[in-house]
Amino acid sequence: MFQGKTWLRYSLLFIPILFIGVFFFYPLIRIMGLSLTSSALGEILSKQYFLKVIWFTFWQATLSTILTLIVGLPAAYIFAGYRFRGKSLLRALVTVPFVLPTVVVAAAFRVLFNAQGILGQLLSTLSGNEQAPNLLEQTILIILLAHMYYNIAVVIRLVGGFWSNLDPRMNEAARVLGASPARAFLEVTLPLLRTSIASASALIFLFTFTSYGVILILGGPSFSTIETEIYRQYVTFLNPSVAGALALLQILFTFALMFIYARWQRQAALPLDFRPSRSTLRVPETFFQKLVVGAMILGLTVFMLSPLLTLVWRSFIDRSGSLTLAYYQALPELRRGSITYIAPLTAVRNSLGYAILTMLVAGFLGLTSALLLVRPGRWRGWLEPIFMLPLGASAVTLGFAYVITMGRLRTSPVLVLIAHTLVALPFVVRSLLPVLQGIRPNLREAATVLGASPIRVWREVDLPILGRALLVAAVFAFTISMGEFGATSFIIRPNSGFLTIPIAIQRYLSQPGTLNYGQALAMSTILMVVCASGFIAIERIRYDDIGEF
Amino acid sequence: MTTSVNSRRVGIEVLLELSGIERSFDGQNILRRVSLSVERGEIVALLGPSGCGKTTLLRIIAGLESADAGQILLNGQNLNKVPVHKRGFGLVFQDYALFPHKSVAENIAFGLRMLRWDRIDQENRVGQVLQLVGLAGFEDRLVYELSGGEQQRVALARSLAPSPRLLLLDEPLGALDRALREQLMGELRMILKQARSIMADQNNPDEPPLDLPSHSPRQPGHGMTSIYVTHDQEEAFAVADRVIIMNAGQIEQVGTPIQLFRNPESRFVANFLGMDNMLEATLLPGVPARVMTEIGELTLSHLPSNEPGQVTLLVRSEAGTIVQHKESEVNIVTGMVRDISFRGRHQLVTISFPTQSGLIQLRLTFRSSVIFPMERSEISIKLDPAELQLLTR
Repeated sequence: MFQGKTWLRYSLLFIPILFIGVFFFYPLIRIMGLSLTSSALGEILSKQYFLKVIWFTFWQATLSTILTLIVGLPAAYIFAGYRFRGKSLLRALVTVPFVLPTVVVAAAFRVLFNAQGILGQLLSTLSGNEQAPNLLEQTILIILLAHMYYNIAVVIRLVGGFWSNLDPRMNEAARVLGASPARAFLEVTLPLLRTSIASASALIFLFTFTSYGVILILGGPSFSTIETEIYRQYVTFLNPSVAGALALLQILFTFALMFIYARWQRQAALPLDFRPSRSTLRVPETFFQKLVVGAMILGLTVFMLSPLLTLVWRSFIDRSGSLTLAYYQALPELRRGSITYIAPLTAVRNSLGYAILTMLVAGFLGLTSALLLVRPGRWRGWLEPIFMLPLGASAVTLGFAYVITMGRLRTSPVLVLIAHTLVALPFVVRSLLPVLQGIRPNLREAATVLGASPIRVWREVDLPILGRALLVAAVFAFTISMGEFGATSFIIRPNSGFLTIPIAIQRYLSQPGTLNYGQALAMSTILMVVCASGFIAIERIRYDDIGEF
Repeated sequence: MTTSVNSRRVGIEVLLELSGIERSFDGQNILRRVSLSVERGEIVALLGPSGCGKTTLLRIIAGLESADAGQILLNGQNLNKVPVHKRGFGLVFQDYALFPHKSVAENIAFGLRMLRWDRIDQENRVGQVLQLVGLAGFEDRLVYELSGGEQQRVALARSLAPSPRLLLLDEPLGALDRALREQLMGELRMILKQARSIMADQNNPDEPPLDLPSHSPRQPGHGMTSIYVTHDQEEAFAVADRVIIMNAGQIEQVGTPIQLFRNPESRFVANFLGMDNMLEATLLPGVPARVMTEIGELTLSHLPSNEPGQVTLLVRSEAGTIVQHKESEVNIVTGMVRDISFRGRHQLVTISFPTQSGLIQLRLTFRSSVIFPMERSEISIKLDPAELQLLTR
């Protein structure tokens, strides 16, 4: 590709490695070193309180994973087996939460379930009781629901995708050989799906294990996972050594999970006779099939849409219940006695700035990384995991590691940009690499034989093919930066002038007052619209399924 | 095409009877009132181009799909409401559909486990059928390590193991390359014909034969009753006792391979069997039968059943011999050599005849030793009256 000067090429390709080394491995290793040498680790492991936090982190992740599977598998079956109108729309709808910032989803769930929320008001009207019951707010149920909301797409996309490519004849062969439908499912379909279910579970477990914004906002002070405890220990109790020890545990747990996930995914490569899913789909015919498919469509649509629609609706409703634009109109104002030092609109501007810069930096680094990875060679085997590791590292640990190890940079907005870039980088590489790998060498050879110079080949062949993938990668980086909460919450304090939207939302949500609440919803709505638009753009411009997970 | 003889039919007892089967998808008729019967021990081929409905018909028989109308009777018992897994049939899929997470032995034993055979019997039967298909000792192999031909044999063994009442084969050789397909055609027929007796013989000879539970009483004299779906004429002729030619959801013609080849009734059947010299003709009254065509008047050696008038004449490709002088003999036509294509054992020669309504071409085969004049030169051909016949439909 860059045929010209060798040293130029190598120094260009060296940049992403340097970046990951300095801003990912250095802070994490520093944190691990610091924690191992302090006595905090022993303190944590001997205190009942922290053991309870670790225990809670595990079991809420386990429960979330199981519940998501229970709801997701039937949906995956319907997606895999049937053709129905609006299917791609529904699939997109299910996947939208994936790009939605946790604060937005958390805010939406709060609106849906708190006493002033839709369900609460409905209940108080029905019961005639003025004092509406506090539905699920600050209970484990609302956390689990939010986790299901986020991860149902993993099951539908991973297991459903695998399922729809599974040869239906496999199941038919079992049936002809005398197996009842249930027996055929247990003996043939389920074993063949096992690996995809396992890797989906590992992924969901990893995501919910490192869940942060959802638990911080929805759980309140009564629920604490390792992630939120790192934040509390550092920010509230000013106890960095305990936070560091927790971060160390978190790093070990997540890397172990990543390792398991990678192994399971490799095992999933049982040589199956896959067939294009078009040939396996059928239209619901009997009444029962129509009923089941219809119920699934309705249920999923309501589940996925109701929090978001409620959020939007509530952001236009004032205390007396009439329509208002007040929350939006107040966005540009810096109110007296405000909890932030800048007007909310400035936070919007900040976020856009970070997102655009992240898009450029992550785009450049991601492209050079992908070019580095696409070249076959002995480095590849260990280069690829290095680029993918940041995917599994929790943003909270990263943010915490930054403020501890980055010295004077620690509260600088530059560090926010770096954190966002690091979080976005694996997604950018994932979007570009398969496309780069997919460019068949004979295309380049054909162009060369037809008389194109190396530069010309790059411009005429690689670039046009890569163009769409680059666009997808850029949108990915943009939306990730817009919604990033975990790492940013450590670097940017609420009183900073460089506040981002998610931090502002969390801040406004945690304060009393109708205007605070309303403005949080207004900002959440704006953020949701931006991220959902980004998602729609990704869905429209990407090649098939490239760039998933 | 070596093994098919029409005298090979054994049973006279009807095992399977379909009547008036109909099926449509999205308003398109896939099957229109299909009726047929299969005798015990018989191998029947469903032959037709892709999309003619043959696979759908097979799947309806298997119970994997349901018919919109019509009846399926097995031994006189109505099968319409019997679910797939209770029919006791075997089905060999085109791409085998072997379970990739099970070994060869586990694949074959699957149907036996569904019948709750005990372990020893299962192992014995797996050994027997593997031997039958020529894969003795393959028990512990993984299915995705096998070659295409071996996978095909395992799929066959898996379907045969529970002694199905009826074996259905859906393009079983379709995924194999030509040479292997030709080898397996003959072998497949032998396996199907031996299947029952071998499985009976190989039970321990010292003891009375194990009374293995299976779907139907063992009948050593019979082969496996089979329905074989294919789009390959050669395959159908090589494997089947009787061939059913289907087109556009309907049965075109039924007969032994020889009957079909000797007397194709319709243009479709003739075309499908590779006979493409067909001329519009007028049948003249009288004996011997004579027809008027645009290339001249021709005499037929056997009497057709057609009424005098408009008919279609089939000229078999073997019909021609070169004659040097135009003598007063009958059935001599004169045309121009358009193309000579050497095919090894024979040469395929295209001869064209200019007529009032345009150019008519006949494609005729001649032995390789026949010397032809140059292309574009005039040639006189005598057409053998025995190789001319009229289509009845």
